[in-house]
Amino acid sequence: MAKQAAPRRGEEVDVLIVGAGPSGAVVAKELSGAGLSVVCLEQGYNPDASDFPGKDPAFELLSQKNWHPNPNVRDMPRDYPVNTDDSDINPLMFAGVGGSTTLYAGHWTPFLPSDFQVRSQDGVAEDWPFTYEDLLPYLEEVEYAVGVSGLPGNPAYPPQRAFPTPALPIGKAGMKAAEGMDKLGWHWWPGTNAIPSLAWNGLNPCVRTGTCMTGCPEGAKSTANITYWPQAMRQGARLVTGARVREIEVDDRGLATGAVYIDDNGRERRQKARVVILCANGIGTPRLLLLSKSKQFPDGLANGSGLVGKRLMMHPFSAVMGVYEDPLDSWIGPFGQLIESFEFYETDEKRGFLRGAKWGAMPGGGPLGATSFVGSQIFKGDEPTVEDLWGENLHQMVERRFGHSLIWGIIGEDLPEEDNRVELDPEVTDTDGIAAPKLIYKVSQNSHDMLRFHVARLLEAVEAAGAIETNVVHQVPDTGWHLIGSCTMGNDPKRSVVNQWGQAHEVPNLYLMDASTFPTSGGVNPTATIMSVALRQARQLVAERRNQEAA
Amino acid sequence: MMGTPLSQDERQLFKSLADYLIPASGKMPSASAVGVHEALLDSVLAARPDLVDDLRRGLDACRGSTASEALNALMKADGGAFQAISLAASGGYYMAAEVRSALGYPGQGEAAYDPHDTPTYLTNGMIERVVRRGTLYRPTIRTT
Repeated sequence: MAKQAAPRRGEEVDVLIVGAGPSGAVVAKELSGAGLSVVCLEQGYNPDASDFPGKDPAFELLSQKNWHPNPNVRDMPRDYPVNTDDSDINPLMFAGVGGSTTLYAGHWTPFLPSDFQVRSQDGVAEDWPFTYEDLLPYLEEVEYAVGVSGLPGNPAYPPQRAFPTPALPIGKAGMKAAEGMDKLGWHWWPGTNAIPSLAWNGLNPCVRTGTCMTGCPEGAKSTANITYWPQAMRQGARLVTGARVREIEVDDRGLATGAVYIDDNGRERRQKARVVILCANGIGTPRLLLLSKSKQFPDGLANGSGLVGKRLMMHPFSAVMGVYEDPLDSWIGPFGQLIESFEFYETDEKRGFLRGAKWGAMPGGGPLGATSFVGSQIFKGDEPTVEDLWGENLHQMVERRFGHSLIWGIIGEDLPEEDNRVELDPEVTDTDGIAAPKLIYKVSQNSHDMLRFHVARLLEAVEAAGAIETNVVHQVPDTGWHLIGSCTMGNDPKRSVVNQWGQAHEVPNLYLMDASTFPTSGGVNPTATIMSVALRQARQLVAERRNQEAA
Repeated sequence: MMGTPLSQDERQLFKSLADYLIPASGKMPSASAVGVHEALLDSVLAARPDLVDDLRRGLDACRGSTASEALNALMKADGGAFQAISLAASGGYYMAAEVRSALGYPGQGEAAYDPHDTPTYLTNGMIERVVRRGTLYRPTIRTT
């Protein structure tokens, strides 16, 4: 392991990374380990596990506001607002070291082989410039750092190295979900999660507190602030928190020279670097490129293709609840997927849409959650009354659902469309006066049809397991966890922003190493692929460091 | 949080509305029986100070009518205020130890397990059946 002193403030460095989430962390560890001087600017702070509300009696109340994944709901000073007036889905994210993994559920579902060849296999969208097999060695390496728990041998995936820790218990709720799949002869598998069952790489073993999505108070959910940043910093990487980047600057030759940022005290600062890498997610990265206009780049940095901000994908989401007579103890975690299914993942054109979706079963949650369903209260009829949901009906509903329910979530592939995009809002700004992003996003007919099909199949699955009540929420707005594809990668500079190594076609010392570069979204939770792609790209940058053009 | 945000008058009104929303039933106590208008309300508003304004506006709108009339009118006219009243009532109620005990809910805590235990699905044939059905993925198309 290389060791060096962390760069001093203001000192020009080999590499500046913007964003300390999962991709930025992978890149920082890799590059600092290769002896490069690294500074990372992160607008949020390093989360303190003692702040997470999981052990607070008011946990469920806090999860609906202070720890809500929608920054517009949370409305904290380090969040930037997002104008969603013209978006069917609200983006979810967290500003801080570890990024949105702070609040994710830890579903560990790498992209499958066909996800890299959507054009070749299904005739739509684009192929990636590399294949599943090209990425697999990096995925296996990342899984060891992350401490993934799971059962090897899942026939939904090609053979690969076993996971580093055993699968978490699927519990009574997972077994109930599996019963339905077993009766129908459909694929299911114990959930693979970025939540270790054994102490691993600074993580504690999961104790199933069931509060994963508001930050794990046990330090058992794999987040990059635990699994990557300590080593990166030991190797000399400097992490600057509370630093909000306003612009990437370029020289007369159009090469990146560093970033202007606003520090914790509201002072404008400049960090110079020979290479700049953006890891700010599928909204933050195009926002920053669009903010970085100059004489050479009047439409935004590296935007000669006009594709910066376009082809945003967010995975429209539906969910099906099954309620059972049997006690399922369904407040117990992980939250976390108990089991998963890829039965209807691959394209079957007879279904009337292209591509497919992954299902993940999760427990039903606490009693306050039993009064609603994925944030939506269920009323009877078109003209609901208070009495539908409250009074004696409230007690009956909670008695029936609480501890007796499971929820299947559907992550359906969102195909890229240029009209779905990120722009700069002409009026809304963050607390530093920097233009906020505005989303224009419509759920496609393909996604709509796909989710309808999957909901129908899942209703069959939960009923096969003996559900006494079912509920469906279709295309829930607050589910834009996965911010993908707004600066797509490809071989053709006219049709893409970066090449397969994340290198901007127009700015050879500017790299994007987050999900913004994904040509397609898969039908799975993307963190495994985000981290694996970032590792592959960072390793290439190290291998080519002597040929790297710089300002 | 801001001292005592609600007056005794407001708390009494909240108590009556909360009892309409959450009456006693079988083994379950009523909202006021566990004190949702007292210390639990303080706990709720300490956790969620953002509810105070909506709650107060909702209470003002509910004066002078029966609970059913007032709450149904409020739900239609001011969803945010109705949500604040109902969430303050239910949020406090399900934090109460008596209520959690009646539901058999210990709260979000540790659930011990042995990660090296052999899961049932490995011994009862369930996983074997999945494996026997074969692979699902479409392999990479190789170009020459």
